[in-house]
Amino acid sequence: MPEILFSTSKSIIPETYSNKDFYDKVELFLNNENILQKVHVSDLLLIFDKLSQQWQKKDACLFQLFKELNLGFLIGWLKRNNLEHTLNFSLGDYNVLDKPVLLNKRNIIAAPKGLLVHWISGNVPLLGIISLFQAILTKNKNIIKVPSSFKSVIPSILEDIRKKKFKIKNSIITGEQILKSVLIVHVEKNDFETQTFLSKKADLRIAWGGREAIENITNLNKKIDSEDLIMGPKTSLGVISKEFLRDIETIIDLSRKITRDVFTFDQMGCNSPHNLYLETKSKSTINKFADELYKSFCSESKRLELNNREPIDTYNILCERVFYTVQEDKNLKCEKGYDHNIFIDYKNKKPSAPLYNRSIYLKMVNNINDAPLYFPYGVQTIGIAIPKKRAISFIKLGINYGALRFTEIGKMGIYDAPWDGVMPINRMVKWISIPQQ
Amino acid sequence: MKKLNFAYIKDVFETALDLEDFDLKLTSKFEEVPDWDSMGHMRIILELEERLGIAFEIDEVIDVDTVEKILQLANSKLKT
Repeated sequence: MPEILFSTSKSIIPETYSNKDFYDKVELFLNNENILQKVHVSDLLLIFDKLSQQWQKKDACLFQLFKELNLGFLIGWLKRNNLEHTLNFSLGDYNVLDKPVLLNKRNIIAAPKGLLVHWISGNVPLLGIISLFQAILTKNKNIIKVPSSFKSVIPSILEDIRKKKFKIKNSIITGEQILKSVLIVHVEKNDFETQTFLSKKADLRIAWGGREAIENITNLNKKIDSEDLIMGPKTSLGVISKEFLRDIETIIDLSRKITRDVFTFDQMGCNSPHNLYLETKSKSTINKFADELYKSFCSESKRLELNNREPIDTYNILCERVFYTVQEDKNLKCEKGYDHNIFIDYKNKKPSAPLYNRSIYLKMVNNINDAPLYFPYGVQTIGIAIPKKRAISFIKLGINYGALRFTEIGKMGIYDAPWDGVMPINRMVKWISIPQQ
Repeated sequence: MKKLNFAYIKDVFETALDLEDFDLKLTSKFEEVPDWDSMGHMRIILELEERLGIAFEIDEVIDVDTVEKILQLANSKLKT
């Protein structure tokens, strides 16, 4: 049965409801005034900045939770200078959220889309949290459907905000006021009746997840003019040119950066690399690289325990290890446990399917511009270590083969805009032209 | 403004991460220092920002993964 997990309304108590009662509570939420429309964006930026400062303190209630879920990036993302930059990049001038602004000789205002319904995936909670904060900044009402795997994370964060009061200029804005526009729910994935109810209310459906989840959501009935923001299944990889494989210090530095990209969220994010293309014809070079990468993996795995490995994952890793051990054109670097794996393929250039669990495949290409020929469908981030003068032509080719984001190796785990080829914040508003006054 | 040195950054690290018995060096790496995880990293950065009255961009701080790189980053911000 559907559950309400968070609401600031006294008449919408967090608990499990029958379908009919759930629909009544949602209608109540939708009929409540959206107080966010009265709050200036500049005040919201100050509030989020204060949250960033408060949450980084060791005595903060959420410190341990943030540490366990590796949410340090969120602290940096909430800082005022970062959010100002993000909003201005997406909207031109963030003041357009509060008042008409002259942009390119047109007087326009960015109004909230209305109701955003978010379907958050179970792999990386950070992305759903960021999506919600973006939706609040754009002053939308939000219903967030959280997955079973981390039902309590977002409600816990919001409960902490709810208790706070923020002194902004000469007034007090409470967390409760900010969060009046947010409802957190949990609905079983096979409860299509309730999911359809939510879908038909949405002005923008934001869907994160794998193929099956996205197809289920997009197949739900919706309003005729409702839009979708789909963050669907993607895979990412890295490309390293020969210039970065010449000296051992550079290889060691790159290995540490790749380790960071792999270990952040244990490759559960679509922006984590699963395959790495090295521009080399030399087995000795790729082996040397694998050695340094292995040392880096071993070092980091002592600090960060691998979470959530299922028995089927262990079985798959074991099978792959056997395969890579017996094949002459392959090699393997791993330790006795199942914590990480480096699979080296000297011959086959096609990217291997993700094995997750800190597993990466190293492939060889004669030229970096050969790598895009092997990009799989649904490629997202390409982490690169390529000199500037060669990078542009590689990037142009990569775009032709479907890549949606290029970044330095070591920065693949950052969430930034654009994402999956879109500017999410831009999609959360309606652009309205008004006469010049 | 005077260039920052290792002693300064060491103090920043010790404050941000509550380092007590750890022998921090200029060459110390992210994975070697206790509590230097993603949360610890942001605490170091925010401590630096507060002390120096500067603001880092997220992109600037994300791959500074040794004490030396943090020192170089801080000094580069003081020049601008």
